[in-house]
Amino acid sequence: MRNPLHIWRILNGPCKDMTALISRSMDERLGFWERFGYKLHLLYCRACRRYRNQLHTLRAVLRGAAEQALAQTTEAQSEPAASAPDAGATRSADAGAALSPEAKKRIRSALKV
Amino acid sequence: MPDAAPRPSASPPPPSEHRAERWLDDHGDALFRFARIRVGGRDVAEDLVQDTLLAALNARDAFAGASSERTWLIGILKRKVVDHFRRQMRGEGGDAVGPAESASFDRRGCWASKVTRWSGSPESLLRDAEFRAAVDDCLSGLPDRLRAALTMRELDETPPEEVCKVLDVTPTNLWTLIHRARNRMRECLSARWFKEER
Repeated sequence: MRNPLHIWRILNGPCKDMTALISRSMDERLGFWERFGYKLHLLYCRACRRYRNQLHTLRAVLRGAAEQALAQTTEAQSEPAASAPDAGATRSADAGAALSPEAKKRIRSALKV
Repeated sequence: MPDAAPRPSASPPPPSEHRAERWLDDHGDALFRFARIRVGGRDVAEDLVQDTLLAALNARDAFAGASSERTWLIGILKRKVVDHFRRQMRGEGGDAVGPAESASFDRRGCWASKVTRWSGSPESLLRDAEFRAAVDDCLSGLPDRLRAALTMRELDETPPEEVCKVLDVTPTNLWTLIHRARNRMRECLSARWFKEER
């Protein structure tokens, strides 16, 4: 059982403390009062609500980017029409997404040994 | 069941080096991207790809029940990445929490600046190559330890206990690392893409 002071602190904690709880709640199940505390806070704090949404978006784009990177085949450097206007930028943006020719050459010789 | 006559092999099995070269051609870039997102630097990622292909060559049980060639190679690479993290973290103090907190909050713990709403769904954002580049840059810009914690939990969903062992930190430290990693990514993307302070 938590002592009342601890519960009081959770329920009245500043946004900084709340963001730590929000972050942790994404990875593990918090205790009853911690959960209650930050959910209550989210009801009236728009900034922290946005923070929570941003963390979820961040998780989604990280996972999405990783999945995309994995699924891409070596030849498929072309992008759908969505980013056609800046095709040049597309190419340079994806330039870091492949082994350089030098690296490929180096690895190839290492494999021959 | 039709009687399945054994198919005569078209040719003797290809020599090892041809197999490995084919892996490099077919999967090299994907392996590289997998490694790079987690370790940050190109050089390290390249070395890990090389180590993976060499290990695959010497593997006794090819595929080991994996659903595809790429999945199998990724499995090997995953272990190499974890080994890299372990080696990297050795020597750093387990209690090292790193530099001071970000300036998002004032002394009372309240938000120091406006928290804007990020526009765009994850799917639409990811369709934009410039956005992907921003994510890539922000990730590479993270301190190694923060990136390792974040990617192991968010991308690989490694159990927390295991992450703690690899990074040699306590569970409390782990949550702090992840919290900081998320905050840094958030601030980086806000500045680079969502232009928070408009």
